[in-house]
Amino acid sequence: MLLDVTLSLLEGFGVTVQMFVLTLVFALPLGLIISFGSMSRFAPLRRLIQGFVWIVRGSPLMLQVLIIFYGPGLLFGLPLLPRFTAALLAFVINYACYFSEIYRGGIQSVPRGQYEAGQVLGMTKPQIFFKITLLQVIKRIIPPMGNEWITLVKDTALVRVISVYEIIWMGESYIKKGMIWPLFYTMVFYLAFNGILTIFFGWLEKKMDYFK
Amino acid sequence: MKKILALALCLMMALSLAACGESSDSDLAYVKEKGTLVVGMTDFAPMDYKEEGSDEWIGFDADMARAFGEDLGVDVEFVEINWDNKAMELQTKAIDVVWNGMTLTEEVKSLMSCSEPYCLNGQVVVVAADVADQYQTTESLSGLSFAAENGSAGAEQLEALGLDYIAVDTQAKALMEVASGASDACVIDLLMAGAMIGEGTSYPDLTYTVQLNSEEYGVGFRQESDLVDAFNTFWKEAYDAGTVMETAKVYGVQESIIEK
Amino acid sequence: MAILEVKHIEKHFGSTKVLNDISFSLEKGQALSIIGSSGSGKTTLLRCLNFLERPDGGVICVNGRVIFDAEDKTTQSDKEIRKKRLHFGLVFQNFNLFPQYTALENVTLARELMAKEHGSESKAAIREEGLTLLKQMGLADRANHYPHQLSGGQQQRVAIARALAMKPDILCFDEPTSALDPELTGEVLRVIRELAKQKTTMIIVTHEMAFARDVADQVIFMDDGVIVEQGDPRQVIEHPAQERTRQFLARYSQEE
Repeated sequence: MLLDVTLSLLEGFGVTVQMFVLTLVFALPLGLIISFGSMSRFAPLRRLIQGFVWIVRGSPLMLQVLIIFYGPGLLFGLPLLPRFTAALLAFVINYACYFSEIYRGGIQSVPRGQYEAGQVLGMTKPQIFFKITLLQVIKRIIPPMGNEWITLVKDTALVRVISVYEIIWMGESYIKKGMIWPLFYTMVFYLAFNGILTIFFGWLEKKMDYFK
Repeated sequence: MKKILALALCLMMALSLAACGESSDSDLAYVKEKGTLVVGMTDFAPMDYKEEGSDEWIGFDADMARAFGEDLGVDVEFVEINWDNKAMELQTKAIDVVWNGMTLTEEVKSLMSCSEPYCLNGQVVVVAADVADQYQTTESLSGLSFAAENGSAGAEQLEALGLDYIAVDTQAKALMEVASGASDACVIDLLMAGAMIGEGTSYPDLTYTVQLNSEEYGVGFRQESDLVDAFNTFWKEAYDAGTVMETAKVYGVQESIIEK
Repeated sequence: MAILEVKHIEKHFGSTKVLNDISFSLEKGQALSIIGSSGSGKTTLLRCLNFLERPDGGVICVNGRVIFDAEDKTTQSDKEIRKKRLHFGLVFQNFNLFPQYTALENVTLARELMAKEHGSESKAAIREEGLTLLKQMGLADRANHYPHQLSGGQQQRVAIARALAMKPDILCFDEPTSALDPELTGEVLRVIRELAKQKTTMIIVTHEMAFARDVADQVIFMDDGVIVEQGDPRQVIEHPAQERTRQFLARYSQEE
């Protein structure tokens, strides 16, 4: 019985992990682009991006998932995206906005003198970004990134509102058979996964410890 | 969480009503052209469920849905949905039909076009077996704390009686509320109570007492869908041919089937 | 011929005029000290020379060639400025070393990037040169230390080596000892003195009056965005001609 439940929960956990990994793959670079937009010197673009980030960060992710899945059909009678794709799209947009704020904080916390030192040494803007700023930004954003990644693992549970069968859905399906413990057993999977993430971020922080 | 969902639903509905306008062609033709009837349901024995270790949906509703698909000449695909979103799922064509022991409440009838009723059911009060004798009448229920599935027929009954309750997202969770002592009682379907509580089940210490009403199950389609007529015709023929009662006997629901 | 000629430089921040009609010239191999109270515009002047600020008016010539003219936009494109700013080196008050690189990497990074673009020098040659510079700064044994492992004085000496690595025509110092503890200023001043002896062309913004007097061939006293007095260091510092210079020096020696 334990084995059966474990296998079925693992199947759901596979979906959870897929959602987690794919969200990161798309949201990490997209967030960087958004952060550049939100720091743009071109005011209309900056305001547009800031407004967008405000809407996405200021409204519940669950609502965004519902809107992206059902919205096109309800509003325009368009065919729907596949459930997983719709959920992923909502997650990518949502997390890219959170990441963009983390990037922005990291980039703006690098002292101006670092850019200026690069400039007077004749470096180009891309050289300054990639050779000087980037690593300092990465070091600064590791702790908030760690928090976001762990939150993301837990947020994937939301996708079940549009019937993407992740681990909590699988756990809950046992309640109907009168078994309550599989739902709580899912916690073990979350804890194990987040444990690995915690160790990974601890290692990364240590790795970056060589400079201050 | 439930409030957000409800709000989202209302918002979507309002927006969609504004945006609609153009009416679609025949729903029946749409399904036939697609070649698949997508059935939205939940895990709800004995209407829709899976045998241990099997991946195939069975149950009275599942088997009849397959027969209906055969009658239409299309494949049947089952999608387990979030019950709260059933109306949105239908309207956005994520599914074509809600067929899952669905009680025909006023709310359901306003959100979708429904078939004629095919099965009888009722809402019953579930309490711990050792205190059951104190709660045999409707009057004795005041003072108990209740749980019920959000937006379900059971919740409607409690509201009609003026009793407060905790809304949970499935009937199974309502049972869990009582089993764990979080609530004194819950209101669920008679069919479900028969299958899930009492001796020999996972909830041997629970029992049901008062039946609050009697009600009917039906199948839900998109608003104005011509699949409703196709279904009613199919059901009458299947009943006359004896298929309905045969299938009902397999799952022990023959006493609830409505005569045609 | 003067290596540097600055003519009528103006700079505004909003409605405040920070630099007003600044003109001076500097001969090759000479050291120029700029003194004045904070807010007098001396740091802004230095930043203008390094194109960290863009002057609103005036002309800058190096070796007789116009490298910046406020009237001529073709001298102001990012690409042009990037090339021309290499005539100048700048040592910052707060060092601004790159924390993730070792002392040696700080010195060689920009040169290596440059070599990658033009393919002119080998990495080994740049490294060798970097080590020589660090040795010259008395930091041969600190080449592989990271900035946070170095004292303020050592960090500033690495910063000087980093600026020298680009072989600037004119090396600028922006209050190079202001951020240091008093006991660490000596080692940095010693290095700058050494550079002066080797006839490095330098502009030094400083609060160290004695140092300015001893090291510089020329002193400029600035107040309120204008040059009040300029000339021989002994003349300006010990026998100032202007009342404002006298007041500044009197206030300054009181503080000390």
